[in-house]
Amino acid sequence: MSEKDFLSMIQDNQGIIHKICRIYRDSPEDREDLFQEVVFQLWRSYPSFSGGSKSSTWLYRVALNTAVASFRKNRPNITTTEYLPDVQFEDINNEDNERQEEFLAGIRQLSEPDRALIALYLEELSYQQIAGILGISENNVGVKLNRIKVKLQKIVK
Amino acid sequence: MEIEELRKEWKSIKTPQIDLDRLKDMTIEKSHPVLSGIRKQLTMELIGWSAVLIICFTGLDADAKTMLANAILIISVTIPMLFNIYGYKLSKEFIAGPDITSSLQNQIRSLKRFAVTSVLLRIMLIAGVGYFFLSNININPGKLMLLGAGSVLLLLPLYLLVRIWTKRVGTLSTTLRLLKEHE
Repeated sequence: MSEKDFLSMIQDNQGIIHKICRIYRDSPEDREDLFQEVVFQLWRSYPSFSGGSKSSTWLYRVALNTAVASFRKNRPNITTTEYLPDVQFEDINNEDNERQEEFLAGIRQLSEPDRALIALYLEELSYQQIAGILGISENNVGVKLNRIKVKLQKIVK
Repeated sequence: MEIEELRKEWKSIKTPQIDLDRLKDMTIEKSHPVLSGIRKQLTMELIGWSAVLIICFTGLDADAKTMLANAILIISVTIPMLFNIYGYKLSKEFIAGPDITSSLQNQIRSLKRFAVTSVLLRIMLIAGVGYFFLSNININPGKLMLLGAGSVLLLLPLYLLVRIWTKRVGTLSTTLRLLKEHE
């Protein structure tokens, strides 16, 4: 597959990368950095992607791996009102923004591995696929998910 | 919120659309925000230590020092610099296994190795530069105090370096431990 194929695959699947960035980083700047890091890592590992697994499975694995393993820049924790009008990286014209932010903030309260698990579950991957991406047993996926669902239902009301 | 509602909420998250040109830019190492920061730092260190070497060999009577002191200075400065270049290469490698657990295990192993070597080389750098400056001079109480103050100044970054590595490895180890919980 060529660079063109790669870019068009990323363009088609960029929604999930954005969602992963939103559950792993707090500020828009950090999310933008992580998004770029994920695309960079996907491009680097693209030659080793044999096509044996589904492209979406490979994408989830690389994106989540990058999110949990990449170093964060030490930025000062400045809280501002929403984004500046000219910042286009994140959608600001979303009237459901507040509710969604509350939902995502709830997920961000989970531990980093739990965030990966719930993201894959919400993406409707099977236990077998989740276990394959994370490198844990299917049984453990079930145990953890039950615990996470209860925790998340309490956090996000 | 019930599970189906959570799923619905997840699916309804609106995400921006980044165009192909911008995505293509993101695959280029030169435009990578973290890597460009590391590259700048590396370049500055390289220039700084090259300047130190030039000053040592032109203005600090390097010819009055022994051959051994000169050799130690060059080696103790050059090897950490080369190792930093290797570190830059390593900082691009996040994906090191067929799944996230094995990738994290491999990354932690490689980071620990890198951290230990990095700290040892920093000690070598301090010792090497110290040996160069102290060889062939008579130590009096004034110089001893100066040496003590200099040592504290050099040991502080070393302490910070150890702290940074401990934190980085610790964060990844915690993630791995939580991931493998109940296995």
